[in-house]
Amino acid sequence: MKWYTYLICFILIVVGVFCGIELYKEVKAESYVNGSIDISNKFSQEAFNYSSTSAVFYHDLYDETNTYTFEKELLKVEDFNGEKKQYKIVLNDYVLINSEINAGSILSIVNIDFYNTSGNILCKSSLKISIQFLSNKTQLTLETIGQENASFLEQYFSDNGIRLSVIEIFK
Amino acid sequence: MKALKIIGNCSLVFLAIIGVCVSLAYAYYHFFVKDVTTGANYIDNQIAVDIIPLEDLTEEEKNEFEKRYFMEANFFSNSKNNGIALQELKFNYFTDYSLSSNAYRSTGMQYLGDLKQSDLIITETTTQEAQRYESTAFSYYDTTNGISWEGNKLRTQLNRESAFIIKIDNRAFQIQLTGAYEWTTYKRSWWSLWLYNQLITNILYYNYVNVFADCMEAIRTNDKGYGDYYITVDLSEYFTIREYDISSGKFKEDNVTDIIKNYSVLKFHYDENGARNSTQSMFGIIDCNPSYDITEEEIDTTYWQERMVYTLNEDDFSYRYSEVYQGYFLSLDMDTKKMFDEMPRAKVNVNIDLKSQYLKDKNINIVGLDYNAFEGFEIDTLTIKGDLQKLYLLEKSLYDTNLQTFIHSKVLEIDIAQNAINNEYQEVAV
Repeated sequence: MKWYTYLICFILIVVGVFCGIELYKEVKAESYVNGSIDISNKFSQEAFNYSSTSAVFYHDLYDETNTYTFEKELLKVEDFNGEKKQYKIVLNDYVLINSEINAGSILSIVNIDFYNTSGNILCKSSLKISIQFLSNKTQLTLETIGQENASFLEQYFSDNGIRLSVIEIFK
Repeated sequence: MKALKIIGNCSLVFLAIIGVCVSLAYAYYHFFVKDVTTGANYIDNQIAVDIIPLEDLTEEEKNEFEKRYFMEANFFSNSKNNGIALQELKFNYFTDYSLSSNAYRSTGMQYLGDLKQSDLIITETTTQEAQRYESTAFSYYDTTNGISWEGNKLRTQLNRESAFIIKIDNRAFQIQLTGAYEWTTYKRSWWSLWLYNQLITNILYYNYVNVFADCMEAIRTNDKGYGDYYITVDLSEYFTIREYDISSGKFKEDNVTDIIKNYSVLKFHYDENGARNSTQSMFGIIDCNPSYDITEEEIDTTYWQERMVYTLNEDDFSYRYSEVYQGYFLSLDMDTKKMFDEMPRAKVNVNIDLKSQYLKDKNINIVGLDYNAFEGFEIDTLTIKGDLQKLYLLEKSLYDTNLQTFIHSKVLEIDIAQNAINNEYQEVAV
């Protein structure tokens, strides 16, 4: 054989080895899935639960009632029924008694007094909590009157967070 | 010797023929067999492997870890024009492949304004320029515990050299920004007397501003609108993922599959309001200022303690009929006492209207407070309204209540048993 025949054979063998390795990789390759995600039901719970580290109240410039509002649109809750079921409303571990529970909505009035270091009242605030369970969303609204009330409530929620839940009572 | 040479030559030719066959088989398989092999990596919450037993976590830790999605964003669009537009994005990851809780870290970037993908200028970059590039239009923050954040220079740099470790399926993967955008332009060449259009390939090496702008675009275009949601985003254009190989102790690049999709979960808050103060930031800081507030008339909200005020009315009590007094005695039931025991900061006022519609409907005529009616139950103000009648406060009815003020109608004649109450209080007749 001529010298170039050896060279050609050598090149063909090298190319063959390379192609063999690649062929093996491609034939043996398998599709895979690592991990899994389920983000579909993050907000759909049996009753209702909302938590956040703060709440900021906004005042509409054209509003003459001096109302400060915090609004939140959340995903819809499927099985709330204020007519057939009983619920307990809890805000930051405080049970909100005397809440008005309707077929698809909840209304609560919360009164919070803020004291200074001498034990005197600095601010007497009143907070209206409204939760409306609508067909396509859940509307949470917190309302208070006056900038001072709004500022103290913002401070309270900033210090303690906000944990609002509606718990079904089974008898 | 000649026989050996012939055998050698034949073997060589034989191997070369096999090489040709294998090459042809590879070419056939590669170009004509249409099997598509895919790999999908789902990147969601970065909860450390060593803290999985849920019962061992404190409430604070649960809240903290629950929020550790790989990517979290906060977007105040300010469409109501009541604050400032604010965009934030943070990455939750680990600093080593052990995926333990002490290797947690989050790094975030913040933009004051509404950055859109169309605002970014597409211009060619070199690898040298791109590798350590970090936009100065952003503020950057770091945390190791998810609670306290710090910014400025001494933090993790968000550039193409940063390789984070994330958890997929309880295995360690390295994720690094490596993507680039290529486009072609034509340039007339002088040596062809400007007749020939020379093809020029331009490359833009992505930086974190591109990732940021794309994430904000994904939030802006989500079909649910404003609120708190989770969406999956495809980061394969930007990031390369390498799995950690325990045997070699190295991160190996995936060169087997030809499509790698990295479905990452982006958790976000999208608000139509503008941001007003730093508590609304996911870092608790706006523009490197933890006290950031745009309110013009700031009110001093420093306080010592707050107390939730409750008012109990006629319908919150139990009633016992007395033949002797010809009427009902009122008391608080054990369930209500127990409920308030669990709310130590509650401040309770009691309002009793002896002429209320509720009492009329139930045909209840109240003649006083029963034995031990409120014993051990803290009351701030007791108010009783009614017409001319005698009202009995029986033994220990207000014992250990720490009553501060007792307001009652002038016409009511109050008969207080000797040890009905054991503290001083202010009595007001109205």
